[in-house]
Amino acid sequence: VNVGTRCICVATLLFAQWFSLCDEVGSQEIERTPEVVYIGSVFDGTQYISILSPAAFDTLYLLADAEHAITLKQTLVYFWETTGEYKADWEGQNQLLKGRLEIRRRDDLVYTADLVEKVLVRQRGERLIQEILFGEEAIARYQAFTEDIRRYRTEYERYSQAEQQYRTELWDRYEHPEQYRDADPLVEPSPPDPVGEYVTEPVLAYRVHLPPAQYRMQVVDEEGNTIPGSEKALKVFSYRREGLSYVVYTDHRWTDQGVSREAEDVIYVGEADALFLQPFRQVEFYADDYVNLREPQRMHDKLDYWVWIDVRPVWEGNLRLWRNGVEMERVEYRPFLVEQVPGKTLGYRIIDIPEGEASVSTSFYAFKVDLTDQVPDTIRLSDAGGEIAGSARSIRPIAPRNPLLMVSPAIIVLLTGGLLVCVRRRSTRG
Amino acid sequence: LARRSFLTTAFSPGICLAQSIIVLGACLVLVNYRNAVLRDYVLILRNPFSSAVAVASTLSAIYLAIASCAAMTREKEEGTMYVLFTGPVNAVSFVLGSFVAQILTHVLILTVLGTSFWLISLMTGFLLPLGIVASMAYVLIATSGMIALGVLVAAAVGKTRAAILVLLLSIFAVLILQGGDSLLYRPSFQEADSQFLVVGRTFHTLNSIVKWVSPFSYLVDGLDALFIRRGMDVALNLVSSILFSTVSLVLAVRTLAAKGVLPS
Repeated sequence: VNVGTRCICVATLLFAQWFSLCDEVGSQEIERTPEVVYIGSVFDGTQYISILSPAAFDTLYLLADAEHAITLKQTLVYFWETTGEYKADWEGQNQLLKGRLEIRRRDDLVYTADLVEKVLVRQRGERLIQEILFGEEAIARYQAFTEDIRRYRTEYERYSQAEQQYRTELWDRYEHPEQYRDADPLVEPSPPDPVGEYVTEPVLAYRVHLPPAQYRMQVVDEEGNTIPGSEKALKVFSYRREGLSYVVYTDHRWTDQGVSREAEDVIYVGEADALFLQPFRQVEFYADDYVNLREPQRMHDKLDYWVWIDVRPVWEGNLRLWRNGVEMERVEYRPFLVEQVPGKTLGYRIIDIPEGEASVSTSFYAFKVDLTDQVPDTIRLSDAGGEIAGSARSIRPIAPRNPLLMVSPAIIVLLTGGLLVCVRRRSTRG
Repeated sequence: LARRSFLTTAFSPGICLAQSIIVLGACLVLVNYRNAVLRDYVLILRNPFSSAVAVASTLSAIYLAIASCAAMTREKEEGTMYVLFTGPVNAVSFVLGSFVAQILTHVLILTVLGTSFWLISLMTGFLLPLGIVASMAYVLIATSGMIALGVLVAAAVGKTRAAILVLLLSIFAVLILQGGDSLLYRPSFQEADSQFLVVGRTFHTLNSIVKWVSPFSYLVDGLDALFIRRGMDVALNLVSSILFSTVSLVLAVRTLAAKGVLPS
């Protein structure tokens, strides 16, 4: 056997050994550790999000003056490297640690809560509305929801039968039209209205509603002893400023949107025919607190800046359009339908949906500003109480000038400067 | 002395070229915004001129630092400094004269820039806010640190080419640190898991140290603070810039006095 063949054999053996080692490492089971964790449904200003705070993280962040639900559980925790976060193996262990939640500010006990039933309610429709309910109210709402579901199923079953009967009769009329010459026209049955909201199943949780401050929290058992692992710092924070933002679309580029957050912002428009504006109530949070609320397992540097968060769409009132100090028009919040333009041109077409005809096909609601005739220079949103503070924005059309004309100041400077230098040199020489 | 130096600079082809490059840089930023509005049909901006001011001030700061450095070393190399010092001129008046001349040059640059902005505003429809005056006033004061640095390097090095090389290398190093910091160190919502986090942190740490002694950082950071209206940061950068200028000028006077005025 020559040296080359030996080398190939040795290399093959080494590769096989390495491959088997890799396989061994890959098949190792992820280590799961029994741990006490806090889980919860916390309000982030817009909606309720689920969080998991394992023992490795000593602080929980919550929004001030909002309802939150947290629970202490014993579970198996493992680190999931793919996403770089701790996860809970609920199938392995899922034990609710019952007791009483105690929250202290410095050493004073300021808040206590017992376990109560909690449900989340989500309204169906374009305008996302979520609420959290506790105790008897939660149970009653859930019972009403299950009753609605039962009723809907019964009505749907009835509708299915009617639909089947309608189709059979329709087919029969098609095959034997002579028998139905004098019959009344067939009426297609309509499906029942779906249930207007979704309510989650009631689960036990501690209700938390606190003003902004730095707290310590723990859960104590029936004997008054602190449940090990339940002690955690709790930072309850509020926003710094509030205002009004606008999400701005144009009819030509539906997929691109701009956001105006400050009253000093100017909305520059090109050759668009219309602007669609969706106002939102916005609040400004310290970024580090807000991101820690949304990602309680964040392990990165402090985020030392402020962020605006849209918390609620504003659809009340009118958008008033002004030009040269004179009010031109008032527009209302209306439904629109977006259609893709077929053919080579592509793009989108935004179609007005007439008053009272908003349905499942509605793509979005907005205030429409028509730019085809006269472009307003200012917009203001007003409701029953007058103009909403911080709602004014300037709109300016941009003239499509030749870009070369825009760099003409640089050329003028160069020519003028050159001329001055020549004149100066000539006079100095003279 | 300042008047003589200012007139020499103001009627030189160098300032003419530099001024047009500065205006061109600012114009290109605005052309970019104009293109964005026409392409996307809508663009929301608080002040399109703020980015143009930032670009123009960076270019003008680099030019003024080099110009102040070159003007002073040339005086020394050509022997005119020696001639001046035989009259009623000493190290203090010479350094201050060079410094004030460049400040006046900067006023000229900013005046031309402001006029160009007004013209572009008329041409395009971009709103020229009054706040632009405050930005320019800030740029005028904050750039004094760069001018003082140029004077100090000129006094310390003495030769034109070597002095400009030292100055350019310093500016280049600061720019790389700032660029690396802003590009690679961004612990925001989406980019917190960036694989460049370690490199980014290194840039961030080095830049944080350099920021305390870099007149270029006072200019850039102060302008950023001005645009987002963080009054404390603006004041801090302004005071730092004035302090830096004062210390640099004092050091330049001492160095000039110690090294003498004869060409080496």
